[in-house]
This record gives sequence, structure tokens and C-alpha cells, in this order.
Amino acid sequence: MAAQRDPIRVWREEYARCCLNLDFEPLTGAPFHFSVTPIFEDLRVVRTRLSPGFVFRDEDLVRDGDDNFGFLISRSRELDTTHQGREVRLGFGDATMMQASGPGSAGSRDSFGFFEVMIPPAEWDARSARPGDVIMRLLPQRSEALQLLRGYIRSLEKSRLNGSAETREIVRRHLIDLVVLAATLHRPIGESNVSAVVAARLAAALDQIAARFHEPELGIAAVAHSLRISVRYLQRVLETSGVSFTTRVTELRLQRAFALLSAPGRRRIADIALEAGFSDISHFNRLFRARFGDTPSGVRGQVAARHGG
Amino acid sequence: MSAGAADFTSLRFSTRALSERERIPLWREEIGRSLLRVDIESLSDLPFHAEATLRALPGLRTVVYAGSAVRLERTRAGVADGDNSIGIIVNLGESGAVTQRGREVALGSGDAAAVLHEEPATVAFAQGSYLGMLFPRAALASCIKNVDDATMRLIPRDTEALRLLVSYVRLVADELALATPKLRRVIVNHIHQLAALALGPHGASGENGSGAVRAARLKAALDQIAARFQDPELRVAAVAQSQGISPRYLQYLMETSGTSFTEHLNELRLQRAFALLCEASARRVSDIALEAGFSDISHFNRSFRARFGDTPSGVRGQARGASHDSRFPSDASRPTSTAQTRAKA
Repeated sequence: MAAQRDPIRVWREEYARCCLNLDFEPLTGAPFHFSVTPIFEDLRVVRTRLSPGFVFRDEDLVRDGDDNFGFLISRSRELDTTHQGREVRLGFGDATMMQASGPGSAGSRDSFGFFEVMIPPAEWDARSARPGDVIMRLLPQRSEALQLLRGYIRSLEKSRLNGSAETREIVRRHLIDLVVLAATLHRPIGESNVSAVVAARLAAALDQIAARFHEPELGIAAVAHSLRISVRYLQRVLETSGVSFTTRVTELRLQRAFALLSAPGRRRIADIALEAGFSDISHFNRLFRARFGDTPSGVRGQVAARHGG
Repeated sequence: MSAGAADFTSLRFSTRALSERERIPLWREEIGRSLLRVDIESLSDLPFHAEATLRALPGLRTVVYAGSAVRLERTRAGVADGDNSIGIIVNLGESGAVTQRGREVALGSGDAAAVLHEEPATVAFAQGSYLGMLFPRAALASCIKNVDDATMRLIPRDTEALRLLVSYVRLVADELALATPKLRRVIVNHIHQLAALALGPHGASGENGSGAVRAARLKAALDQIAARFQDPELRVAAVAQSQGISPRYLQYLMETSGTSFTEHLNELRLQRAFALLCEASARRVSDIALEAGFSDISHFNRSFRARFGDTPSGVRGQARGASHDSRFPSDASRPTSTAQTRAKA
């Protein structure tokens, strides 16, 4: 026991220096081991690994007055967290958030690791985001903002940033933006600063295009007309999605053709192309091969083979 | 927002299933003519092959290309489309070169260079693998003093901002659907900032980013200090937090104004003490020091003498002697703080 105290204190001091005052309680008699990797001190971003047990802040530790929000990204298959009377189990890459002003813990029966990013309360206010909604919510690993945040942290870890103050400030803002996005974007409501009107128009336009792309004659003017907006406005609305009208229609047609080819039945490829909205077969053939890396009949053959003929 | 097939945002191109004869023509038709307006020519004796992912987001177009050694050309005819974007080309293979305006920049593995999309240019890669990005000119011009000067210069592979930019863009270009407009907007904005950093001048000055934004932040921080300097507990961290910037960045901002946080704070407190001493009252010097924000009287005394060349009581005596008919010293007689003067300028 006494022999284990010292390395724990070393971990505690290292962690406190680059992130937060925490304590550690080992779970089994297994030897204590740890690593602490400071990644970006301007925002107290750190990676740590520990032997089985749990890290915690108790009533004593929270008296240090730290009221930052600790965003925790699991680097293990199971990371159990508790805070504000709630428990959340994080899988690899999942995240959640706690506020340092209240007690909390995170740990596992196996060796475990996590990234922690400390976000000052003022940063949430500045982005009109409410951190309270995010506390002890499971943010799933596949959330895109979270993927970007993990990628950003890893690339910072690799490049050991020692840039100008300007660079560091930009990086700091990016990390906070990504945390706030990861924390708020997965919610079903409260989306987007694009005006609600534009968002509604875009949704209507996409629905129109999705419903009519198989018409070989479909042009942007027809869609604009049926939505009772000008062609130029429709173009601008579509720009907010990043994909032009033509590209979108072609892609939808190719995907429809692909789906029809994958369906059972021996319809002629020319009929499928026509049904998907292509009027020129050789044009269809070339686009299809460039898009999927195989001919239409090749794709059909593969699908048939997979389903046993 | 609709989901599924209607929500794709990228376009892939593969020569795998194309006959050798039609590969280049189809590339020209599908990509060269519509998306990039860039011509392509194989530099290899072997049949042309390529796998490419193109992505167009509002404010950012990307190409990730792997395949034959190629020469890409932005031709005179292509330039006629009037697209004045700024391109950044990163060599992910072994060697390459960019040529524009009669200048050539050789790109080793991982190196990058920026080009003007509005002028003819050629890019050649011996080992065909590269990342191309196109940015609206305005998006970068708002962050960089002179965008044209930033083009056709080697951006070495170990440039921090370049490495951050490349790993960010690769995530966006390859994997993510970026399902919501808000996410797209924030991400594209981040990428613009990293691109501007990568393009901006490097080295000791660190003079990237917008000077106007920096000046505004400095001004806000100075206002905050001016409002709170009498609090003896005022620290750089508290001011930084109230401004939503890091303490390190606040210190940097103060340095650009030619002073430091502590110096500036001290100066404001000394000025206040000086003004209070000149008022016609008999308050104790230690009370005045306290009100000005000093908590340590001997520190106050030392700083005061160093600053004004006289003791606090000496200054008070002089003020009494000089102001029989005027209770207040004129503003002109008081030295002003350099930081404040510069922030106003």
C-alpha cells in the first residue's frame, strides 16, 4: 500500500499541473502504472492512461474553485463515469462532460485512458450554448463533430504545437468550437444558423429532386418553378448543401441504377438506365464505371454471385 | 432535412472499370470540364489510372488524388471561367512541382504551395498522390494582407498550420458527410483559418490573422482592465476569461501594445493614486494606495517613487502648494499609458 502511494501522488501532481486536480483510487492489487501526455496547455488538453481503478474529484478537491467543464473522450472500451447523481458508460471514442465544480469520477476494472479538454464557462456563453444540457449525456463516438475533435487532438499530439500566439489562439478556438458542436449538434432540435426559411426551402428542393430525378428532362428550372422560387434563388439554396443541381441529380440517378442492378431480376441494363433517368446509354455506362469502378453488368454479376446466383 | 441518398456531398472517380482509351477523356469531361476546370495529362508510359474523391462544400473544394504520375494544367481556356479561387496543393507523394507566372516551386513529400486559380498554372507529380484545395479568394483575403504575395512560395512540410490543415481536410474530404449546415459552416471556417495561417508569413513576428480583430480584442481587454484595476485581486486569468481568450494570448496582445499586463495594471493604479493624492483631502496615503488597487504599501511606495520621482506625500505637498485656485491637476500634466494610446490609434 505505502509503496503505491508515491506513484499515485506523482500522477496526481502531473495531472493537476496540466489539467485538473484529481485523485486516484486503485481498484485491484495490480501494480499502479500511468502516463500523462499534455497535448495543448492553452486549453488544458491532456491524454492519460491508468491501471484499473477510478479517478475522482470529491468534496475536498472541488474546493479548489475550478468551475471549468471537463469534456471527457474515452480511449478504452469501457469507461464508467458518475457525476451529479448520474452514471454513463462510455465506449471507445464516446464522450461526456462534467463540471469541475462538482464531485465526479471516471474509471474501469481494466486499464483505461481518456482525453480531457477543459472548457471555461465563458466560452459556452460566447457561443450561446448551454453546457448544462450536455452534462452526463452520452455523446456517441460516430458523431461527426466528435470525430473531427478526436482527429484534431491527435494531429496536435503528433505535431507538438509550439507556434505563435496567434496560431495557438486559433487552435484553442477550433477545439472549443468542436467541443461545443459535438455537445450540441447531435440533439434532434436546435439545428443550424442558416435561416429556418432557407433550411425549409432546401428540404423542399431536395425532396422535389429526390422525387423527380428519374425524369430524363428534369432541369433546375422545373424544380424552381414547382417550388415557386427563382432559378437563381434555388441555386443559392442548393449551394448551402455544397452540391450543385447537376451533380446531385447525376449521383441520385447512378445510385438508383446501382440499386436496380442489385435487385433480383434480369431487366435489360438499357431499361434500368432509362428508369434511373438517363437518356443516353453510353453516357450512363461511362459515368457508372467512373463512379463505381465497375461496369453495370459487372455490378449485377457480383451481386448475383453473392446471393448464390 | 432529408436523409439518405439525397444527402451525399462528395463525388468519386475511378478508372478501374474504364478502358484505357476513355480514361483521360472521361476525366476531362466529368472533372476537368465541370468541377475544376483543370486539364490532365498522364506523365507515365503505363496506362493512366486514378482514384479521386472530389468534394464541394460552400467555401471549400477538395480533391484527393492517387494514381498515375500526372501533369495538371489550368489552361488559358480554363481560366476564362473567371474563377478566382486560391488553390493550395499538397504533395502527398514523393516529388512534384508547381509552375505559375514563370516561377517554379519544387514540392518534396508533404510540401505545399498556393496558386492563383485565375491564372494559368501547371502542377506535375512524379508519384501521383496529392491533396488539392480551392478557397474563395475573399475567405483568405480577409485574413492575409496580400494573398497574391502568398502564392508560389514553398510551404514546407513541417509548417505546423499546414500539418493541422492537411489532417483536418483529409478527415473532411474522405470520411465525413457533414450532415448539418452548421457543422459545415464551422468546419469550413476553421479550414479557412488554418489555410490562412499556413499561407501567412512565418517566423518570429507571428503576424498572421487580422490586425483589426487583434486590435479590437486588445481594446476590449484594456477596457476590462480599466474597469477593474482597483480590485487588488485582478489577475491576467480573470481578464482573459471575461474576454473568452486564453491568458497566454492576452499576454501576447499586451506585448504587441508595447507593455505587459502587470506593467499596465501598475500604471493605471499609480495614475489613480496620483490623482487621489492631488485631491484636496487628508486621506491617509495607505488608504489611497488601497483604493487604487495596491495591497502592499511598501511595494506601492517603491513603484510610486520609481514612476513619479517623488514620494506620495511629496507629490501631495506639491499639489497643495501649486493649486490654490484649481483643485485638480490638468490632464496634460499626467503621463498617459502607452497601451491605451496605441489601442485608440
